[in-house]
Amino acid sequence: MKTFKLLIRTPERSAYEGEADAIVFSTPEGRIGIMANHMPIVTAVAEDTIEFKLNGEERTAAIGQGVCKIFDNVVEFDVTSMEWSDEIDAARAKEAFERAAQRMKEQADRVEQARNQASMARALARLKAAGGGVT
Amino acid sequence: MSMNNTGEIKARMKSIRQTVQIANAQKLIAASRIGKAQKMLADAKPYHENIRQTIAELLALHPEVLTPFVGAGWTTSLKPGFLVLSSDTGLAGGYNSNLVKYAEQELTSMEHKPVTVLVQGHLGRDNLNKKGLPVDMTQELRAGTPTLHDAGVIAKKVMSLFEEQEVDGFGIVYTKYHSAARLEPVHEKIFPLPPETFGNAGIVRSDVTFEPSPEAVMEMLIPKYIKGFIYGCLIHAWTSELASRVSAMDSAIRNGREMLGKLTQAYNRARQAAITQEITEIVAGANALVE
Repeated sequence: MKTFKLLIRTPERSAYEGEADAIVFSTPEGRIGIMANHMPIVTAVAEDTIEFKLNGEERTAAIGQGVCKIFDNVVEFDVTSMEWSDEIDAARAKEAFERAAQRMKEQADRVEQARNQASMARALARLKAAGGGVT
Repeated sequence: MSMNNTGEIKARMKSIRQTVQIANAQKLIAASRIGKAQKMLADAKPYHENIRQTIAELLALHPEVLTPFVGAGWTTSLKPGFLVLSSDTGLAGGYNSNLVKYAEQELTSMEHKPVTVLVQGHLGRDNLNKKGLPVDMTQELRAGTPTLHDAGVIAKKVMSLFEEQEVDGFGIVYTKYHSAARLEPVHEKIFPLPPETFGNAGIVRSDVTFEPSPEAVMEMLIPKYIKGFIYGCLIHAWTSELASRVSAMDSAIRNGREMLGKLTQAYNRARQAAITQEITEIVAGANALVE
């Protein structure tokens, strides 16, 4: 299978650099899959999980918001964060999710609500990557 | 202080020795943190550079895509807001006073006076407030090891002031770290940014599409760019503070050692004088007995 070069950068580190057969991640308009020889695009990236396939092996990570640039079989992500599924503390993510959900109920302020929504999205992405459920 | 009493001199030497020890520890801690801070700056660079490059490419293909944060120049700012980065901890030589002096001079000489000033670190906050600048004392931005989270909180705050039209632009005053010997207080613009800020995009492929739309990508990128810019400034200010502390502690150590040298001499002299006096007294007493 033809592979492509994948780079994931965050403000703290160069989180991943290597080859991949295929990846699946979320844009604000839904999930998309990328394989080699994709047409050139620049897309916004939503906070969610990213799945990698390489030599039949699969790995999952949680990534933050950002952009993804695809040119000539090079896929570059610039996102606020990235954590491999095995690095995530599912219990903590669940707590964060519940905290944000609780605050959503209590607060009416528009800015606060947007912040809570962002916290919930982050916690959810991490939970999904860690393989846990919400309930 | 009298230099004749050996006990007094000894006590003073002990306290100076302790001060030198503290200064030495402070210096070592600050020096080791400088390395860490510079690594943080280097780690953040590829990400930030790429965000900047992507914005440049987007603007090259879609120059019509502007956001309120990218557009008119600084000169049109009629009610600017300012962010000043000082520190919470002293023992850093002239770091805070130089910054406060510079900030006061810059902010009071502007044609359109700042309407609000956010200050990180209570040393700068208290001083600038005393100078009559419109410092927002309710915003207690903590100084210290910079984190992305801090940068995010500040970025959100300044962007929301802009969106609520409290200000029509934001500037920043902080100390730029060029080298240990060259720390320079500077005044830069956070936004609105002229499109040239993002530099030359180089050769851009015209067949690229932006998903879901160029506007949406721009909207995603600009807050990241602003946060990244502020993060860089926080690290510069932090490194400058540490470098000031290292050199301040260096001179404190030097002064302390010099003083210890002088006191050792004074101590020996006083001790000798006391012995001489005692011998004189004994001899005089013995002579009196003989007579």
